[in-house]
Amino acid sequence: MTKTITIEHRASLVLRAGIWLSGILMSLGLILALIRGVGDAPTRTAIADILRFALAKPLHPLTLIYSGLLVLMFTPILRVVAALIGFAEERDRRFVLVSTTVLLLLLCEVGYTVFVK
Amino acid sequence: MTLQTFVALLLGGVVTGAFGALLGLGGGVFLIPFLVLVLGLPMHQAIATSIVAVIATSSAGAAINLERRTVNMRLGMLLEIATVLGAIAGGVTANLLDGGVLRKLFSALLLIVALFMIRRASNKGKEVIHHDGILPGSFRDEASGQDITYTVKHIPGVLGVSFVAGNVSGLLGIGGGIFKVPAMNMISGIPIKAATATSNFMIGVTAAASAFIYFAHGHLHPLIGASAALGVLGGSLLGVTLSRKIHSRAITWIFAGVMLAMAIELLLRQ
Repeated sequence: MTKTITIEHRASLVLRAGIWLSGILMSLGLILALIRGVGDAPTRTAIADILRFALAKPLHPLTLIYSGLLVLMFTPILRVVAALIGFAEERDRRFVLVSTTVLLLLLCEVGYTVFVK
Repeated sequence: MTLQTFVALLLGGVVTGAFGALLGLGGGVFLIPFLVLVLGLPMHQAIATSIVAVIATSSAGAAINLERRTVNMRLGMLLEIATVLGAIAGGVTANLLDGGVLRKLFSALLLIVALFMIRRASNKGKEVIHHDGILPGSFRDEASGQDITYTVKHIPGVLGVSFVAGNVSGLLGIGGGIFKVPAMNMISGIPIKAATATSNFMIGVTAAASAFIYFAHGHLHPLIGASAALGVLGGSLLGVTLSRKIHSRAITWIFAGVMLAMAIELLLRQ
């Protein structure tokens, strides 16, 4: 017998995973930052610069903290994706359209802030 | 960031998150005054920090409420269109405004929230539930042991309130549930438990929408944001546990008084 996963369960799993992953990354980053300091690394900058910094120094405390913050900020967006998949599986066209609208609004806004700003 | 600042942020986050959860609010209403009045952070930075903390507490709460099936997911997704549009408009507007203007707006918001809380504490009326609307929902009320079923009426009205709530969230860094929950209950006839869970479910997406704007403008200090988010997350979990033992109506009046005092202090601060 196959066990069906409800939309609610799928969305809950995404949120739990996001909270745990971001919490671990931020905690590790903060502990390392308190022990080693962050030096003259950028602490207030735009997303594109942060991504460049993270690629150059993947194990720097700030890279871990930024990764945790970004995982946290993307968690609700991934929850929308989970809902979209669930509604598609249920063949609920109206709510596939609703979820797609929310997702597009968020992606346009994220795209603008990451690539245009 | 010094160890003292880290400890202050973490403890401040725990306390404000616990207070928020005790009152059924997010942590932002108390966190922002703490960051501005105690730690002296600029208003934009305090809002950005609060927005991140709001995502953390909302996501943790929504994960639990989804499992309990108190969230009306279809309604939440529909209203998210309005809250996201409102939050983007609010986030963009906030970054065009001076910190002093935002501080005054936040003072006004605290006054409104305090009045809402007093009204909620004084309200002993019975809930009105409709069965002739759309987007049906059902959940088991653990307190009464009953299965509650309901439908949703007057969607356009609650969509309008959701846009305003999203706008206030993006502009001032709070979740906005204080506006959405009464509207969902009074306009659409959604039981308070389902309205609270559905509002909380929507807050993460609403806050994420404006968080990227603050991030892009460089207002989110990573060390401050991460410390406060972890503190508020821990505090809100503590507050949820405490709220089962403490009668919230009794403390609502005290916190309403605290909010009024914070509003005056923020208003008078140069």
